[in-house]
Amino acid sequence: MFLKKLKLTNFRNYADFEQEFNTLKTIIIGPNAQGKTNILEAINILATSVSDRAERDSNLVSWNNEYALIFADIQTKDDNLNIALQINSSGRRKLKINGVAKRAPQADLLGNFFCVMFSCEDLYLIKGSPSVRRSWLDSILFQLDIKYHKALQDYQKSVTQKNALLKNSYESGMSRKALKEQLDIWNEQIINFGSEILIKRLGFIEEIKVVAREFQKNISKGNEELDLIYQSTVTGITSNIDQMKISFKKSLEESFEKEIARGQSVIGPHRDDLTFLINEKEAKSFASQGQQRSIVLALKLSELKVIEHRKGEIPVLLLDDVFAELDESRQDFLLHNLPPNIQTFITTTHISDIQKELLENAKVIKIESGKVLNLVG
Amino acid sequence: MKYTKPLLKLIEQFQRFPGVGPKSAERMAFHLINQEMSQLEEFSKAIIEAKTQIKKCSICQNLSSNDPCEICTNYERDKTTICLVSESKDLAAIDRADFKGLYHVLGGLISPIDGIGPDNLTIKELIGRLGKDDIKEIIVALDSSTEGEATTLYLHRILSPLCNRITRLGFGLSVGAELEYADELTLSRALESRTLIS
Repeated sequence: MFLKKLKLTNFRNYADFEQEFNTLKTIIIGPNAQGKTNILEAINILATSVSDRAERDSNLVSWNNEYALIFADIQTKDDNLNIALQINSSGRRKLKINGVAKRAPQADLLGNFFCVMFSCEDLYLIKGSPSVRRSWLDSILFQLDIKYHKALQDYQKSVTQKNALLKNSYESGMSRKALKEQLDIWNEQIINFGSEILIKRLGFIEEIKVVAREFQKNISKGNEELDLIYQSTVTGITSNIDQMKISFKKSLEESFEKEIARGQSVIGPHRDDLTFLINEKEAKSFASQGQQRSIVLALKLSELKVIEHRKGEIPVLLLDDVFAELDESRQDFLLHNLPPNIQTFITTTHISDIQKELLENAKVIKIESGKVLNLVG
Repeated sequence: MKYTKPLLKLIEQFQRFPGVGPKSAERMAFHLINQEMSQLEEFSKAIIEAKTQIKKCSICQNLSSNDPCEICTNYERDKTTICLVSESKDLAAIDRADFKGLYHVLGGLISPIDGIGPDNLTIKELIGRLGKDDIKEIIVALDSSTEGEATTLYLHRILSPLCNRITRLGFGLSVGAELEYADELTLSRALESRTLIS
């Protein structure tokens, strides 16, 4: 995939941004807090439909404006793709793809454009909270599988309703029998959507695990064996959907009293986690700073491979200020393991952080307070 | 510039309407004050009359000016089939589709987040009807949302000891739709609920 043109209007601190890209590498340079990352964020939204930074859509619209626009001209393997996304400060969205208005602006955006974002935040993947790892899984699966997005949306709605029911029952002193009857109807949907989510997550992990293991072995010169294990709150997870539903149901039944006592839904993919092992030891507790960086690097490279493999398109790579975090050997490893014709966007505060090799044939954009200063190179 | 107080009050009244934002509320308020006095009197009379004359049918819980309503008292309708809907407006929609049986309006969908549980729906009234009349089929016609789905499941559990045949609306392609324009999810539901060609 190749992003040929990007236009932003009232997006974050950009009143008006328009750039055409005709080199594989684009380097966005400028001091901190000038809006470099905002450009990558806009590109990432086109692929995942969600922002990795904004809590709500209104944060994406520049202050005092009603809406923000993202326009993109994209070259896919055998076609042209044009995306126009309008994000209203009210939280509503409008979407046109190749000039055709779409009915579901969130879901219909997915599956058109693919990218992999690698930022400093990703270093928390190993030691951060489980929610960081779940959002990582979700952001990739959104791109890979449209049905995953819908299942997750419906799943979350059912969990919200179930939590409200658990809370209300406590306040209103509802009888156990009535509560059980009503929990059942939400649990049935939670089991159906939740099992679909679990199956898709497991399938993805099985796939990325193999690739990531190979990268990790190469970065560590054969010393480190990486493993990924999905830790589910559901006991007895399997790759068979009917079996999964039975396991899910059993886990919910066993936690019935616990959920009532906590007043919260505690079983299901919204509470699951992912563990990384290095040589059979948990990376969360044992990995050094350097090893953590290697794992994240291996995961990001694998993410690229899996998307390319499943979608038949090389995703666009977004590197947000990561070179300051990677030493020379890891930078080298990253550069030499990318597909040769991958389009890359790189943000940095100092051009000196970036290897010379990357600067060759790169387009450089200088940013200051949401404006493009001048073009070099 | 700020609007004068009576105008502001009128705008606020409109803003309380479902789906009406500040701009539409303004437009409606201006439209009203530009009307003739006689027109406005007719309008306010219509509001009061609607509120005072519309009752709930004590049988099917539909909005009606008579109790029992025109549908429940109509001898030509099939009294052995009962269609469950969430709101009166859904009843109107099903009736336009030439359904000839009886209805029951539940008055909403189960949604704990809005504080609506089964006790807030007219399920007791429905069970009372099933005891009295000879109902052979219950058709559950609710939204295809998580709340609609949860309510359908609940009703199925509560009603299955009372009625042998409980059905729900089918899922699939909209009539006249071209296959290539149908979204994936609709199509996969349509595949699941495919039927034999008779």
